[in-house]
Amino acid sequence: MRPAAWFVVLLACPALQAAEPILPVPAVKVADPARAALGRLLFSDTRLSGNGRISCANCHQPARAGADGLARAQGRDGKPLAHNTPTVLNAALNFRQGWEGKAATLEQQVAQVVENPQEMGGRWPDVVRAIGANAPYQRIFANQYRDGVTAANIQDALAAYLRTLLTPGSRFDRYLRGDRKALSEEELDGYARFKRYGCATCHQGVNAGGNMFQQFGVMAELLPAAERGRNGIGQQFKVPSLRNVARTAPYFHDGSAATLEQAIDQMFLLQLGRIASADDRALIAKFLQTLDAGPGGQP
Amino acid sequence: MSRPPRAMPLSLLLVALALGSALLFFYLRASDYHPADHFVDVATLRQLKAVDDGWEEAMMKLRIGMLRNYDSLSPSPAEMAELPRQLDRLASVHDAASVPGLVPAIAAYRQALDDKLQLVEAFKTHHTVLRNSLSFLPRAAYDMDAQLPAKAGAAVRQILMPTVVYGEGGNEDELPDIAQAIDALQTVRPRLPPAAALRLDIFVAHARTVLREAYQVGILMQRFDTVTTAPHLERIEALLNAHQQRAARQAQLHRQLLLIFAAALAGLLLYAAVRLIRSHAIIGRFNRQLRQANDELEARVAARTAELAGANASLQAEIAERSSLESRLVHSEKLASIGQLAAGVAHEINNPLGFLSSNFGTLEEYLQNLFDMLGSYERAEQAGFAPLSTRGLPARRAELQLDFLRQDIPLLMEQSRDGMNRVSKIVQSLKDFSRDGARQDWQWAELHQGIDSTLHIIASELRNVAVVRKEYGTLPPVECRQSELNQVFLNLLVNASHAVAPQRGEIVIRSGVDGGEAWVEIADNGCGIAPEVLPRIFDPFFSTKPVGKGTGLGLSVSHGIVRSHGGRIDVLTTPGQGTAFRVVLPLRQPAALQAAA
Repeated sequence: MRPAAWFVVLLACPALQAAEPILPVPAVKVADPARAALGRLLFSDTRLSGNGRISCANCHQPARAGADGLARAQGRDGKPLAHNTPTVLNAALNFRQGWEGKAATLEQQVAQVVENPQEMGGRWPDVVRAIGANAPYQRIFANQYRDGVTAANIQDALAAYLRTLLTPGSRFDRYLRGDRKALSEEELDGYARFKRYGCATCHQGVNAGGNMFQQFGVMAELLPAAERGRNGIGQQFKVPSLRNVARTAPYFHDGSAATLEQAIDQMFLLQLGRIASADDRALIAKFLQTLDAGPGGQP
Repeated sequence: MSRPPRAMPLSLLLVALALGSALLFFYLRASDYHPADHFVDVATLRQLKAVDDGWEEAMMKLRIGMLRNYDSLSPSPAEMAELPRQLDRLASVHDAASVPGLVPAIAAYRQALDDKLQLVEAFKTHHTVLRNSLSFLPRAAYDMDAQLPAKAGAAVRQILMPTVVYGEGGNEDELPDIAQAIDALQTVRPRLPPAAALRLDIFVAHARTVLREAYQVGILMQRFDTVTTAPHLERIEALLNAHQQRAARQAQLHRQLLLIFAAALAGLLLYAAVRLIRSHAIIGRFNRQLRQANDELEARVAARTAELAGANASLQAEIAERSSLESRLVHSEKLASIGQLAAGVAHEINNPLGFLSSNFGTLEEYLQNLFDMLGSYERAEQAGFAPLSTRGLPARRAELQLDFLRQDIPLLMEQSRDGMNRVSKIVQSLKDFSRDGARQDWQWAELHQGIDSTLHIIASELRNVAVVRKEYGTLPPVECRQSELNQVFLNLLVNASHAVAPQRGEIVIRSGVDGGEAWVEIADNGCGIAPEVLPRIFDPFFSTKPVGKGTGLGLSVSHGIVRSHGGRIDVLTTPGQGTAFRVVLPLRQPAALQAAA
């Protein structure tokens, strides 16, 4: 067989793959609205922090799509935190939590963040005492949990709230569900490139990411020697979800990419080992914006 | 009869206790491992296996490109929480002792699962990179191809196909050739323009990435095959199956034992019922026997009462006989006493008789002399008191000792009268003694008089051995049968005289009244009574005197007499110093006693 024919076969391969790599976000199923409502109260309660001034909502701001718009949030000792604040939107769809995936569940993530001295800087016994001292909390917890205010119950309530923070119904999801008119020509082109260039190998699944670890800078050998030592190269991070990505700038674990285009550029080079053209960049960016959706099913 | 009822409740209690503990044992053992629990456990194991199988299938699909997302290879947070919970439940519901090896098996499965999860994560990471580079490699080759010299184009073709084949899971045979081709391709790079050099770099980077990642993925797939969780799950299932079978066998055994237990319980109840019925029968029999015994007892009481009445009658007869015997005995004793005293009495009569006859002789002589004197005076008178006739008279009077006679005759007469009195007194005393006691009626008597007459009767006997001193107090008349009491005094005085013999001793007779009772005490300073003898002195036929000297009835009869008077005889004795018998008598006899007499 001629080599040219091989090229054609190999190029055709992706086309043969019928299924879309990205799946639509499911509708929010609130298992326990009362507990989720309690979690929402706790989410913006500063009693969960060591100094009584910080709540979860300080960094995971609903107005900023569950993130804070900073490259890296300021820690309690004044230094910036190690990583960029990931959004809480659709966090329930991630296979693990945090950039490094240290928490297997939302409950664990809550437990870790509260006790992290750089983040909330609290101690669970103190938190339980502070929450338990509040009569309304006491009443609600007593109604919802057999054993009242405990660390596990606070974590459960917060996790229940976080599970409601899904964003179904993005234009792209509507497209996936069969609404061919949901995306413009350009956006569809962007999606095609997204898939063709290999973005969709990592950013796939229901959350368009968030279901595996990947090395940052797989193709770092293509970088100029001076840049190969930059922050994070060679480290493994959880592949972040691209849901609502247009609203959660800046990007990457260290917030080093300020705009979507910069991020696309970086990803092309570091991960895909390609040079993105201006069209690629623009069209893919357009496509990514179709992943935006407001939080649905909030209590 | 008292033993079986006592033993039965104890043995019953023990059996009941044994059965009760057996029941408890069965209950505790029976709730061990229900088949339902086992099905839940098996279902859990199936689920776990399905997770594993799901991963394997997803990996295969991803490897051949049938699957384009990794969600099915990413355990969801819910799964991540649920899997350990199920394992914990599996480990916790069975205690380590009942299913040995379960906990280690679960730990081993957990370890394998963790290992496999790590392999899955690594697979995802490497596989995505591999897929990217693999899909892009032809494009990179195509982009570069036009800008390369022909020789380099051959090298590219030499690299591209084998690399793609290797990347899709081909063999490693061509790897050295690929490495050679890459090196050859690199040699043209310095001569290329920068844009072409970048293309070449990209191509080479992707080729190398494919080779590297394909190798990694291959190794991961191999390791994924070797790190299998299935054997662990099978081992757990085998353990649980064995446990379930054991539990089933045990349950069967327990059912059988329970059957035996129930049978034993029924037997016990039956036994208890039989015992109860038998107890009732026994109690009924006892009741009947008791009633019968009661009736018999009444009959026997009646019989015994009749017997007693008979005995009483015979006793009465005996007592009457005895009383007549006694009175005869007393009488004979009295006779014996009199017989014994006959000599003394004779002597006592003989003595006055002696001096009476002597006095009579003297008085006869004196009367003869007086008659002679009177004859002389008669003749003188007839002579007319001629001197001659009177001349002899004074001489005759002197001879006659008329003056002496005038003194002596009254004296003799006095003496004789006294002697006669003495005799008559003794005779009177004897008459008193010889009187039959039974015919005697109660009378008020002066005891002193009776004592005196008794003393008269035995005076001769006493005179030789003792001095009798009377220290009478004042005694009012006492209601008594005097002759009987005289006999008592006689006995006591005779005994006293015997006691003081052979030395001459002293017998003191005292009397007085003390608290409505009269007492007469006859004390001697004789030999006394030995203590061993003292309790028997009132026994009939008991005597310490030589044979023939006493009847052995004296004190016995005396005691009977005094008792018949409602009195008593007190004895105070000191061996070697003397004895005092004190007869205490009521002054007046009670009407009943009087009537009985």
